[in-house]
Order: sequence, then structure tokens, then C-alpha cells
Amino acid sequence: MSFIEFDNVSYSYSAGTKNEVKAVKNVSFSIEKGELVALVGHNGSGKSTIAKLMNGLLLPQSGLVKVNGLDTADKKNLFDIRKSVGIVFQNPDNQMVATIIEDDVAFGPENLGLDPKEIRERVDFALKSVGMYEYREDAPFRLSGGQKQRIAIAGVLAICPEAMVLDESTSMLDPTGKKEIMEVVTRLNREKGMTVIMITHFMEEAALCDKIIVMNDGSVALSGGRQTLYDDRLVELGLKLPMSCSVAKRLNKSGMNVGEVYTPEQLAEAICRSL
Amino acid sequence: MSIVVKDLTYIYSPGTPFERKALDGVTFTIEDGDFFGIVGRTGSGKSTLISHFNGLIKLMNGSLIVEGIDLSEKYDYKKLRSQVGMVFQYPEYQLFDETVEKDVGFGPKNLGLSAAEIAERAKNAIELVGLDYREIKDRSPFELSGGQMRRVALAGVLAMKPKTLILDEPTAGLDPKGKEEIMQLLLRIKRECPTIVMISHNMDEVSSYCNRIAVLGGGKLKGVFSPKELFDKEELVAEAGLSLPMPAYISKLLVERGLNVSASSEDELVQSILSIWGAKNA
Repeated sequence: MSFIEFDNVSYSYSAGTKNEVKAVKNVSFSIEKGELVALVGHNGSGKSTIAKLMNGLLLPQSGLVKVNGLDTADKKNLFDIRKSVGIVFQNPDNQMVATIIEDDVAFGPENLGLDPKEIRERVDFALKSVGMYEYREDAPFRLSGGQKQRIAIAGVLAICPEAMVLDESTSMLDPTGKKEIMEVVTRLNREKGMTVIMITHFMEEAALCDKIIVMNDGSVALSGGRQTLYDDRLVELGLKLPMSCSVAKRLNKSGMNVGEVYTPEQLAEAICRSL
Repeated sequence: MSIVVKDLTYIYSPGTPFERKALDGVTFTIEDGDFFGIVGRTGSGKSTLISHFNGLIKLMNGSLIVEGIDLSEKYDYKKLRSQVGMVFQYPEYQLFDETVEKDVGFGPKNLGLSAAEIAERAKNAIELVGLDYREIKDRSPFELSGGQMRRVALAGVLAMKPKTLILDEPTAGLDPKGKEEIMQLLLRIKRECPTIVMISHNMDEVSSYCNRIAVLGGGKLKGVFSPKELFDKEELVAEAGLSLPMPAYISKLLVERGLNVSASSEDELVQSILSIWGAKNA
């Protein structure tokens, strides 16, 4: 049994009206526990709809979504499903619930009915993980967009879910902020075994994941390991490769064999080796 | 001179436990015709700074002259806002009207223009952002794709015919193709609205489009640079929470490994690597 399973799932907005938009069409894939997965594709390719289907915020109109073997369409499973799959959305302004940052982060664990000491530990851990611990007694509305997003991520971390879905959650952060979040996320994945699904436009981020699912027009166009970045169809879909991959591809084609690399550092090493 | 900033200081919630200095003695000038970039880490004061430019934040300390209007005195804020167009982050969240045409015409309507003139301005602005006026004018802005919505929001600001356009991360959240389209669009807009000021975290964008770049850090101005000057200051780039444009970064990694590579584009990078390889194998 896979951790998250999509079996022939379809979802349309405004279904049955003239404005019907088929956002997800007959999508099947599975995600195993502990995987770091990138879900990539253009705006409007259905990525965010998939995120919402992952913990029952949207229910499939046909097909089946299962988390830990539990059907998201069965209401009595929802509490357990949402405890195990947390989502961080695009816009942090829609995710703040409290007037003080540490209260905001504590909101999730409080609702799980944990004892105060455990809540304190989780809030401190979560805020330190995103580098916002020193702001814990401030008000969220006074933070910049990027800082708010880090608080939203901390709010999900404090629930200690088995899986975290980040729906373009780094898109408002500066490069250093993006890197910090990627570091937090990869650490949680490697050290705590947390399953992470990154929905992203940044192919550099996808290059750090174990598995890549490429969406196009509501369907899965490609999926596989990191080597998917070297699949020519990716470029045909109009997606921009990370520059390290595209430079490596061009060098390989010119006969200078640098192999398949995924980061600028790997590229530099490979170039030096092949000279 | 489009915008003259002198000794600008701003403190949020002064005199309370939440007091925080957002801007600290910032002085610089944005010239007419600049494509001016503002960079810095989240929380460095960028948004506070640009909110001053059309009077959304009242001057606390220092002086500010925008398009000849002195904001340290009593001024006509309607006039200011018709000259300085402000496009916020994710401007599509500000769309509200029933149709695209009405939404875009909302600003001109508030200027008290005639119906014919409002329609004319809406049409021009919608065409300026590259949308098909006849096809889109009667549609609801909420039925459009994200990229189209952002263009409509931009048209709403352009319909005011500003002389200076200020944008807070205009390409945030768009896919690479959408980002490129918006940047190309800004170049076209610049022919009619000559001064553009843009906050960005995207080093590739700033380096390819802006002629001058102000770096903010902790509310202080670290300097105003040309793209080339800025990238030579590696420490400053890192401090501003930015990364070098990718070709420059890969070049730097190769230089550290003893290769003589200096590239500002992917093509240059590939060519210089191949020529080193070719020379070794000759």
C-alpha cells in the first residue's frame, strides 16, 4: 500500500455549468512514505487542485484518493487524514488565525488536545526550524510576506504531520528565504522521514527532489526520478530546465561528456573531471 | 527627476512595545526614464519605501519629492496618485468589478472623466497589456487565468496614465513563461510610462531589465548600483538575500576550481566551457 494513492481521479470546477473547468483529468499516481516529491507544471495545469485533493479539501468527482489506505471521500476518515497531511498554501495572509505569532503556530497542536508542555516544545521547534523564533511574540500582520509564509509553514510543522504539501509556498520568498525553506524541508525529509510534496515553478527546487511528477493541462504528462529533468519532453512542454541540467545537456550533446548533474556544484565538479 | 528621497525614516508603532524601524535615513534619486530596481531581504523595508511614493504611508521623517510634488507639505493626493501608479504584490486579488472593462475603467471614473473618455482609456490600457479588447471587455475578471487577471489588474493602473509605475514583485507566483511575458510587457509599457520602479527578488530579472538597482538592508540604503557593479560586490548580493544570476554563479564555481570562465548568459557559459575543452583536446 502506498502512502498517498490517486486512482483515476478527475475534478472539475463549476461542474455541470457552462463555466465548467476540467482541472484534473483521470490522474493516477502514488507517493510512498518518506519520499520528497516535486509536482511541477504551468499555471493552470492542475497542481493546486491535486494539493487540495490530497487531504480531502476537495473530493474527487470520479476516481479515488487514499491516504494511508483511508478514502478521503469517507467523512469519518477526514480528521486522521488531515492530521497526517498538512498543506501550506500560496498566500500566507489567508492562513493566519491568531494575533500573536506563537499563538498562531500553537493553533494546530492545541486543536489536537496535546498537553501545554508538548505544545510549547512543538511551537519552539517549528519556529526555530523556519528561523522565526525571535519573532514569536510579535503580531503576524506586521511581518513581510515572506516572513508570514515562514510562520504558515511553522504552523503546519507544529502538527507534526507525516506529510507536508507545499503549494508554491516559497514563491514569495527571496532566494535566501527559498533556500532556507528548502533546507528545512530536505532536513525534515532526511532526518525525520517526513513525506514532502513540493508544488513549484522552480525547477531548481525540483532538482533536489527524489521524484518528479509533471502536470500538463490536468493530466500527468511525465513522472519519474530526478533523471526526468533530462527527458526532452520536459522542454517540449515549455518547462524551463534548471540551468545546471540544461548546460550539462548541451555539453553532452557537443561530445563533452559530463553526465547527468542536478546542482551547480555537481556541474562544476563534472566539468573539471571531464577536462 | 522622478523621485527624490532624502533622509527618509519610518518607524512602525512608535512608542509602543512593537516599535520597529523600517526605514533609516534613506537618501537616493530615481531619474526620469529609469528602470529602477529595489532589492533586499524580506523585511528590509522595500515595501515600506514604495508605499511612501504614492502617499499610502505618511511621511514621518525626511523629505520626499515625487513627480515635482513635495510630500513633506500639504499636497493634492489625487494628483499624486494619478501620476504614480502602484501595482501591489498579487494585484489580481484586487479585481472586483463585474466586467474587465468596468474594472479597468474604475480609476478613470473616479477622476471624473466623461464616459467616452473612460471607455477610451480602458480600451487603450487593455490593449497595452496585450489583451484582445473586444474579446475580453465584457467577461468577468474572475473567469480569467491567473496571468490574464494580473494583466487586467495592471491595465487598471495604466488607465490612470501614470508617469511613474511602481511594482512590488510583478512576476511573483508566475511560471517562468509568465514571468518572461510580464517583463517583456513592462518594456513595452515603458514607452508610454517612462519611469518604472520595481521590487524584485529575481536577480536574473533585475540584471537583464534594470539600469540602476538600490539595495536595502535592515531599513538602510546599502547603495545604488548598475547591475554589473552590483554583481561584483558578492558580499552585498548575499547580504541582500539575493543569489548571483545562475550563469555568474556557475562561472564563479568554475573559477574557484581554476578555470577561466566569466559568463553572463547560458550561451556564453556553454561556449566558454566548450572552448576550454576544445583547447585541451586539440
